[in-house]
Amino acid sequence: MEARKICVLGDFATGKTSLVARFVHDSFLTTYHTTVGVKVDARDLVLADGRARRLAIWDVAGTGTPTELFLRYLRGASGYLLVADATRAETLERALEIRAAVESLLPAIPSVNLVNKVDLAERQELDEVRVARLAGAGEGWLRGSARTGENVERAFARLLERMERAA
Amino acid sequence: MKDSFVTACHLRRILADQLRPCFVVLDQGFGVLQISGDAASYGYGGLNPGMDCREQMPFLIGLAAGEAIHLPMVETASGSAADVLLTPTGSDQGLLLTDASRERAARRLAQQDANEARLLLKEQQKLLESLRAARDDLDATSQRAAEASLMKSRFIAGLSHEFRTPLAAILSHVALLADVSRDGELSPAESAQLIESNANHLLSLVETVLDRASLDMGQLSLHPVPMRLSAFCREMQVMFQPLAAAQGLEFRFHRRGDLQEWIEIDATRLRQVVINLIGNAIKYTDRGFVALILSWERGSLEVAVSDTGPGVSEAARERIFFPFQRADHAANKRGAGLGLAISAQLVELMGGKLKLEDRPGGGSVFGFTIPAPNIDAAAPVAASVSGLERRILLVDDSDDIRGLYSRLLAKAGFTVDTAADEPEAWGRFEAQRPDIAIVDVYLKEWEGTGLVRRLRGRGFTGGIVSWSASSLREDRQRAFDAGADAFVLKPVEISVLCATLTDIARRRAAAA
Repeated sequence: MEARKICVLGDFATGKTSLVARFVHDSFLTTYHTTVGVKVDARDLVLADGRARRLAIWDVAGTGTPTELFLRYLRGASGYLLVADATRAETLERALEIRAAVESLLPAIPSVNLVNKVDLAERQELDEVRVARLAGAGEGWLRGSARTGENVERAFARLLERMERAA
Repeated sequence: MKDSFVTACHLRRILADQLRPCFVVLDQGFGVLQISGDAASYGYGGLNPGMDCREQMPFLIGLAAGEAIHLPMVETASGSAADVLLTPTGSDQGLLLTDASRERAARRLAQQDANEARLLLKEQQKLLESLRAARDDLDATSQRAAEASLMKSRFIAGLSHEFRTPLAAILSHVALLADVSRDGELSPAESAQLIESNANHLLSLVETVLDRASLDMGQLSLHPVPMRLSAFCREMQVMFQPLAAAQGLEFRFHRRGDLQEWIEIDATRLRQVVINLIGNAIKYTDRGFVALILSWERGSLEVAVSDTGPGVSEAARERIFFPFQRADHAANKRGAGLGLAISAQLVELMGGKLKLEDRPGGGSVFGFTIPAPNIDAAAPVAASVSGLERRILLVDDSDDIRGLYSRLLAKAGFTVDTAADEPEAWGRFEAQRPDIAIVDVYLKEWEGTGLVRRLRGRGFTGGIVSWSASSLREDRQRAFDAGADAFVLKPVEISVLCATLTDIARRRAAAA
């Protein structure tokens, strides 16, 4: 089975670990534990044409400013999931900075954008209008939730599709 | 020599205990060739030569064979953390794992505290922002309340002036009438006419203020009754033609489309709105004409009042429908500044919307459309009951009201008996056996609605009119709940009272 490395990137406490836990184990972590270094999980997915792929999912510690070490973790990645937190508008700006750093220092690889925690309705700072204003109207940002599972599967599946097209 | 060997062995043991190194020799395809060290402590105890190392160590996926890379603090299968060093060794690759759990634990503790502190700071900022927003809202609300209070104070000051003017006129003419030795210019009849005119103006002011209060409290409700459109048109013409002529204006009336003879509508409120609109138009028009245009189509009555006055400026349009606001040119005109606001609310209550448009050629057009179903059977029924039910028992605790209305009703052809309270009312009731009872909602020491209820309880099947100076919906509702057929506001024009009595008789005849 062919394998692909993908990274989950974003500012701290945007829910990256929870998204991976939902995708790999279909579980949700109710308490916040900051990730230090990197945690790698794997899940097998079957493409529409029946081919199977193993995804090595790198849950990289959150950072607002990408360091040399942060970029080293990305080496060999076929794609990445960029995560912002719907309850903290500044995490979208951090996500855009991370993407700019990744694009400037590494070869172009596919990515998918996800605004997490949309289930926390009363604390929303990133509605679709604000996302469009901050990130640009042409940007596609999925809106999802690790807590409810909304759009989690779709985000990873979409990333895999893009990686396969780019391969 | 032996000592240094022992020391080296000791140091190696300490290093091995702390770093727990695990060394794996891999081929170029990441196949395991050789394993040494503590693989089990990282959760890789099942790793054996010949296996693809990436099956158990997914962090190797994506890495190219032969490249050197150092990956600090990678979580392993056992949950511990390892520093991973992959390096080419001739034709093979060497993979070294050393324990980084302690360093990760220490860094996690510091990082967790720092991240939580930043999240807490963010929450505090949000809380502060919401508190600021709440304070701003509160300030804005206070300002609006202060403005409303100021507006009401101005209104009360203006209204006091409005009340004083006719009161002064009434008092001066009463003094004139009382002065038997006068050789003045006005006859007693002229003085009486002026007193009546000023008293009517006072009454209209009071009614306006009470209407506004009732609308504010949501207490005003509609009471549709059959209304003859042709009579309404005549009434408006008779009322306003002389007033317009006195100001050198022409009063025009236009009927458009099919004007049904009888419609069902709250005639009192329709009359109130139309009188207000025409009165305003005449008040503010110096030359030209004021026109009333009525049309009826498919259950809707359209009313428009057009004038050749100065029009309403763009800036004033927004506010003239609000209470205590007037157009720029209206500052020196008589009135409470409530008429248009009340009219707009009444039209809304009747199911329409009062609109203002420019009149082509200059002036304004105020208009609205409201539901007004036609009722064909009303006329013959009303005609058939005229002349019936003439004996009236009037119960009111005010001597003046009893005296005034008993004379007016007698003049209208009714036989009237009066009572000041419930015991007296029962005595008169037994003696006279009236056809209709008019009962005040509030009697001294007695509840008028109680008398109505007891009249019904004793089998009185005649018409009952409740009346009161209160325009509150709950008073009206209490009267109807007790068994009244109609409710009217005091003081009521005798023509309206007679129309109410006729309407009750008509309904009772129709129901019989």
